Amino acid sequence: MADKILMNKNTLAALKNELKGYRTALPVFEMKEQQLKEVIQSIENAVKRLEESITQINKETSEWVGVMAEDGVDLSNMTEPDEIKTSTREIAGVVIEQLQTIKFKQADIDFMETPLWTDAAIEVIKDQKTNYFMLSLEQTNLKRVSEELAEARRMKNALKEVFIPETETNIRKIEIYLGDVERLAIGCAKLVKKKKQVKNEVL
Amino acid sequence: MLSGNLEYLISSLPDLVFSKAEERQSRVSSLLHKYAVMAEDSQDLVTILTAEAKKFTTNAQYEYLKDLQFNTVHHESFMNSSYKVVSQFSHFMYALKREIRDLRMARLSDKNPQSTTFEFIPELSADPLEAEEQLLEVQWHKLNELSIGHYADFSALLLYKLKLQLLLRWWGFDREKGMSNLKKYIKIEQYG
Repeated sequence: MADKILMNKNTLAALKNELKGYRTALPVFEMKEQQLKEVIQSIENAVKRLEESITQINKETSEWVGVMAEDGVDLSNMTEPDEIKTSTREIAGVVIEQLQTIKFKQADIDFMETPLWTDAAIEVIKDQKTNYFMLSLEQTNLKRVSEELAEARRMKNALKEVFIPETETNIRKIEIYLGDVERLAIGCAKLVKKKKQVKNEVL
Repeated sequence: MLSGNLEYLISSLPDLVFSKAEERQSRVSSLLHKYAVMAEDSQDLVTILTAEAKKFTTNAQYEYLKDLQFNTVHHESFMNSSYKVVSQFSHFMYALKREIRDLRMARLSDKNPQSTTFEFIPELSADPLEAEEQLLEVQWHKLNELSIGHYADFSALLLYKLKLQLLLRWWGFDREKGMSNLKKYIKIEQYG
């Protein structure tokens, strides 16, 4: 836009065409911004819910977590995820990933050799692992959507604050210039006509 | 530590009470550690006890005392023990563990565990720590019951070791360490 513009009708037509395109694109970006804002709000709510759930489970578990200090009990094999299935969907041009199912390894628990608290601990570990996995997915989604929102905002602002006003100004300048040229041409034509009339009368 | 026979050893050992009070814990710990001054300071209480017992017992008794462990006392080898107290406690622990197993299986299969009647298990708290404490108390009472009539013999020493290990298991329930273990299992760093 900083380039010197050619003050002719072709440029004027091209600029009008560009302006039309900008005016069509602006509401698209405004709508996208609105849509992404809503998506961000819903992801932020999901993140908040998951963080609250993690905190609540930690709070409840902290009442009895002391039993997990017991040596000789290894729960690693009983709490390892075996299969994680996620699905993706596209919202306003952004790919959102969500957890479908998480399956844990089916480990045989020796009920005679493991203490009673093992069952409750396994449940808590599985729940928290699921929560943390979902949280990490939502945080990645939030990052992706935020980046897309920033891009949509940049585009909207560029159109609204730069491209459309500058194109409008250039169109106005060319129109004024072309108007001046036209008026000048008419003036000149009139002058020539008048001179011709005077010359004819003298003869 | 007093020198002499087994009676001296047993009478010089710290009194064990079913309590989690820190005062009790430090009393038992400091007394047993005093005996270990001549040995390594870092030894755990059970190692100190067995090391001290070695001075007052035969080799066979010492080996048996060393092998006896609270967490494996329900195994068949202890059920057939020539020491009546060990055999009786082993049978009791086996029966108790079978009941706990049935309870856990019923819970996991969503059956109502209350519909099964248990001989040894009391109505357990939903809180895992309280439930473990309830079970430890049941085991403690059984050890106390078996202690009657055994005050200064080798059976008394065997029961003392089992009681000490029971208390150490209880005293080992530490919130900070437990939370640290829980976090290790969850592997929070893996999820960023």
